[in-house]
Parts: sequence; structure tokens; C-alpha cells
Amino acid sequence: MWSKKGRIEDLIFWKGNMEVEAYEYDEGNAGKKFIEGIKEGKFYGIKCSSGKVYVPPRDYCPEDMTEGNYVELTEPYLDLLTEVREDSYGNKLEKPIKVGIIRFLNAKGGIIVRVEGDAKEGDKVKVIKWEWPLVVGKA
Amino acid sequence: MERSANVYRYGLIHVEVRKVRKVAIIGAGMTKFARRHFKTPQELVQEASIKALEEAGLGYNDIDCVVIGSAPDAFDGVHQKGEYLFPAMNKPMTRVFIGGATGVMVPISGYYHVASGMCDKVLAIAEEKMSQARPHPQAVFRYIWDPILETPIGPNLLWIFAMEMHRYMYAYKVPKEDIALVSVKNKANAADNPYAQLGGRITVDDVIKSEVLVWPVNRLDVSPVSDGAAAVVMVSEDVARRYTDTPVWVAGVGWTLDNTEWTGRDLSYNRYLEIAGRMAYKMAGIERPNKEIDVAEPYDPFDYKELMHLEALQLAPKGKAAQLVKEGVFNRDGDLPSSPGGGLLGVGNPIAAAGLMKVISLYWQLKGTAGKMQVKKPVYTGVAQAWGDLMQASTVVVLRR
Amino acid sequence: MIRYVPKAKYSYSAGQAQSVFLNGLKEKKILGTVCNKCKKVYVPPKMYCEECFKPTDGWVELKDEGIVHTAIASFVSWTRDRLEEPIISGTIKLYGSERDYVFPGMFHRICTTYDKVRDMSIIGAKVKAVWNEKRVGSIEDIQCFKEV
Ligand SMILES: [Zn+2]
Repeated sequence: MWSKKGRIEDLIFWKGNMEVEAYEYDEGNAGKKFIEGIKEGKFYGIKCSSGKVYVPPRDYCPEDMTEGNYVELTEPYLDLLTEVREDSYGNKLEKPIKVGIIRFLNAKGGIIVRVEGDAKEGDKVKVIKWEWPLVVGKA
Repeated sequence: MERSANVYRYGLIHVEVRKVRKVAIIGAGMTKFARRHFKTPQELVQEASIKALEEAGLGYNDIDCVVIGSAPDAFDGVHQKGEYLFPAMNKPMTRVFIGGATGVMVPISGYYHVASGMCDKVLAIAEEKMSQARPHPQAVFRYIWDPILETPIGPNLLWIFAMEMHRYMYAYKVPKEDIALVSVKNKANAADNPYAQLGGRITVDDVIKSEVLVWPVNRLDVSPVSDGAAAVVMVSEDVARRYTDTPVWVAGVGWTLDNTEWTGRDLSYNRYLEIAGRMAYKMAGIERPNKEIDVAEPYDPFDYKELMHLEALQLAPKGKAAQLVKEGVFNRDGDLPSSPGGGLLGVGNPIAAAGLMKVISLYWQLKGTAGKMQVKKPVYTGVAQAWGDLMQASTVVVLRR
Repeated sequence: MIRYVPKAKYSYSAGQAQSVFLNGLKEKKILGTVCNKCKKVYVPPKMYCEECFKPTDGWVELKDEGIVHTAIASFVSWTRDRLEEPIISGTIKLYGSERDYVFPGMFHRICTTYDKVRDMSIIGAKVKAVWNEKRVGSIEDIQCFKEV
């Protein structure tokens, strides 16, 4: 029964938006600690009873859900690096931007950052701008 | 046109429970339900989980499998919310989602994880953080409708409840004043619940005179929007015997999904819930629910819903639940206490967490740890239930001590 | 607190059955599909009979009138802003007897007064579609269902 009425040119496509005014996300306790740390030029992670350190910090240790202690982390290195040429909507950027993930020795997790200069994967990096998003360059 | 038969396949429960393991709940935990929590969704989940594990006497490392339930991603504003909410740390993890019925689907899923023999100890969690959507969580509900045929008319979630409520009032001639008694009862019950957001003494008059949102729904007919999380620990029989002297057993589970055609369905009665209820009762060996159920936790996001659900769960005759509320049957000291902990109307409605809260309230009653919420009569068997999607889904759990 | 505004845009496919239905509205017709096995009529139409799990067998045209199954008056918008004039809507049973649990039914606005919603006199009333002059193949080709 469909062959007669179901021609492609008879099909309808309905345009729709999924809009809300905005979302307001709470950082939570550990998130606040981390963001305040960034403002002061410090990286905080959380140290669990097993000795493992997680960054960014969380309220509870993911492995056993006990509370951990905040520790300061130093000497980040660039673990991953990529170059972005288009924005989220597929428009070509005038100038490509570099983004990467920095990590710390002996800590699990990482932080997404913008990368300036010619830092390569594996290089030690220093933070150029202590604001969000973080901008790093070769140390 | 030939007279349409429109016969509905009805009451055919094909599920036969064969040899499965017994499953018990040995721990439960909740965050307080609140209009806005400043914790992250993950932190809410962890708070509830830690409390549940503490009561069970287990650590997270003892858990074999995790089940998590959360309603649309759009509330918290994070896609793949299941994965986002809980770092399972390489344990098997399942997310369940069935609209408003999700909260009771969580322990149902936990049940078959254990009953099947696949896992011995399951952490089952539900969470919702509704406050993050602006200008109001109500806006998010716009996208649960058919985008072509329904959304253009501009409905919000209150509409479907109002439509169902009005049909119910019309079909059974139930006045708004009688329905409001449910809100009065549940909010009063919630005054004794330490986790409650909106407990208190109100009158029928307060409900009737509160703001008309969508006629026939007034503001106090509706449960409050909330943030919160809840969790239970579900284990096999041998584990339960080792860790507690007072396990609460899952005696029966049932769940159904009707089609999305709420526009072409009699809205005065939730037949799909009746079928889910019969499935759970059959599994629990219950033949006369209104005689054998000692305490009920029917899903009450709106006051009239508690009435409809009591009827579909066969705990009140069709259209007669309001009359029984009037007679005090469902009071905490009545013959069949209903929502003695305050329900969603009093405790709050963080969607999935609210459904699991109903099961936890029942668990406290059966364990005898409900404190001031404890019902007068001795309780051996109880039923908890949730409902959702586009007026099409139901989930039912029968617990027994 | 971090603020973020999502932008998600979609082009929803109406598919075969709904496209025929929407194109029918352009010609002031309410079309449904029927299953010959169980005789169920689907409005809005479906490609498959959900009862029999087989393709539906043909098209039927229904009258553009029906009985109000339920009706509401909304004083809040979808963003929960207060409305001065209520939006009145409900479901309309297009065909079938009073006792049917399922029936071909539509969700739409109802042109009536708030008083008639409040005293429930609109429920059970016979209504007829009011068609827009300009019709484009959308559910909005019907302005509302109005009492006859
Ligand atoms: Zn059929």
C-alpha cells in the first residue's frame, strides 16, 4: 500500500530546535577547590588511601568511595596534542588552534588546555595564563 | 467504515518465573531532597551510595555490579548521564531509563542482576539534578513529545497530568476537594521524614486556593521540583544471611510499556499499570492484593496519581480510592497505609531518585526502621511503584520481610 | 557555577505514514490507517499495526469531528511563565464508542471557554475541526477543534 503514496517527494521534514535558555552547572566542593587553585596558580589533585592521586580532584576517591586529601601537583607535561581547524559548527577557523591534555607524573587523569608555541607531546610545560581555559607553552 | 473492534490484548502476562535466586535489599541511602543542591550530580550519587553501603556493611570494592537510573539527560544537562554519573571503576554497569518509571526500574534491574546468578552484590542508584536547566526544568519536558504532531501545539508536562486528572474526575465523578486530601495526607506524613523538602500541615482549602497552573491542576496538587539521589544494595540470599539479620526480600517485580498513543487511550485508568502489578503479584504469590498488601508506596507526582495508581494496583475499586482516603484507610494508622513517608508530594520529586525513594520508604517500613514514619499495623508485605513516559510505562516492586 | 547555552537543531523526518497524514491536512482531510486483521484504526496513522505486528492494510478518511475525551486550560507556558489567557487543549476521540479503551484520537487545541473546561461541560461534547485558510501540511493547519 505504500508504493503509491509514499514517494520521496511527498515526505515531510519538520525543522525543530531543542532549546533551553541555559544550563547552570554547579562545580561542587572538589570542583570549587580545583577552580580556586587555578586562580591562585596551583593544581590540586586528590590523594586516596591507596596512594593514588587523581586530577581534577573529586569529593570521593572513585576506587573505594572514601574521602581523600587534597595535594598540590607540580611539573605538568604535555601528553597529547592536536590541532583544531574547524569550530563546532563546521566553519573553518582563520587560524588553527592547538589543544592538548596535560598530565602529572604519578597522578591519574589530566586537564584539557590550549597550547601555544612549539611544545611537543612529552615536553614539560608551564602555564602561560592561569585562567580558564588554561594556556600552556614549553617550559 | 466497518465498526472498529479496537480490542486490546489485555492481561496476558507471558513472564513465568522459573528457578531464580532469592534477592534481598540489605542497605539503602538517600541525600536530602532539595530545590537546589550545590553538589555535582556525581557527588549526590556518591553521598547516597556511601550511605547505602554503610548500612549494608560493605565497601565499594565488595560490589560486583552497578545499576544506575536517571531520567532524561536534559535535566542535568549532560549527555550520556549514566556514564557521567558514576565511575564504575571497571565493574559491569548498566543504565536503565524508562521516563518517570525509572526509579523503580533500578531495583528491578538490580533484582535480575542478582536473581540470574550473574552478580552477588549490586549497588543500584538513581539520581536527578533538575535545578540546572534554565529558566525552569519544565522547559526540558517540551522535548518528550512527538516533535511533528505534538510539540508545535506547545504542551508542557503539566498538560498530560491535567488531561489525565480531568478525565479521571469526569469518569468517576471525583471532586477536586477529595483529590486534594492526598496532598494534605502526604505533606503531613513528610513532616516526619528527615529527607523531605516540603513536609508540613496544609488544608484542602490551601490546595484549592493555590495558583491554578493548568486547570484542573493547582500548584499544591503537584510535587516540588528537586535535586537528589538514592541508592540500595541488593544481594543474593547467602550474602544477605551473612551481613544482616533483617533482610528485606524482593518478592515480585513487574513492568510494562504501552505505546506512545496517549491521545487515543482512555486516560481515566492505567491499564498498563494493572498488568505490571499483576505480574509482580503473581510472582509474589499474591491473589488478593487489597488483603495481602500491608503498606503501599504508589507513585504520587500529583495527588490524583496516587488514587489512580492505588486503583490500578488493585488496592482500591475503580474510582473509589478518594472515598477510601476520606475514610482514613490510607493514613499511617489506617488499614492500608499509603505513602507513609510523604511520597513525592512531600519528600520531593528528583524524578528517578524519587522512584527509588518510594522503594526505600517501603524498605524502611518492612525493616522497622522508619522511625516516626513507621505505620501502626505490623507489616510483612508491601508494594512500591512508579509510572512514566508519555502516560505509558509502569514499574512495580513487591517487598517482603 | 558554569553557564552554558546548548544549540541543537534538528530536521525530523515525518516518515511515510505521517507525511500522508500531514499532506491530507492540507486538503482538509483527516487520514488514518487501518489493520484488516484486528480492525484497529490508527490516527495519527502508523505503518505497522502494533497489536498484530504486521503492516497496516490501507487508508481510511475520518470525519473532521469527534468527541472531547479530556480538556484542560493552561495558565503557564512551556517555560512556566504565567499566561493571562489560558491555552485550552485536550484529546479528541475521532471514532468509537464510549467504552473503548483505545481509539483513534488527536491532541489539539479546543476552541471553547475556560468556564466550560472548569465545569467539565466540554468533556463529552461534539467538536469539529476549524481549518486555517493557509495550509502547509502541518498539525497547525487545524486551528482548533470547536464545539458544534
Ligand atoms: Zn492489527
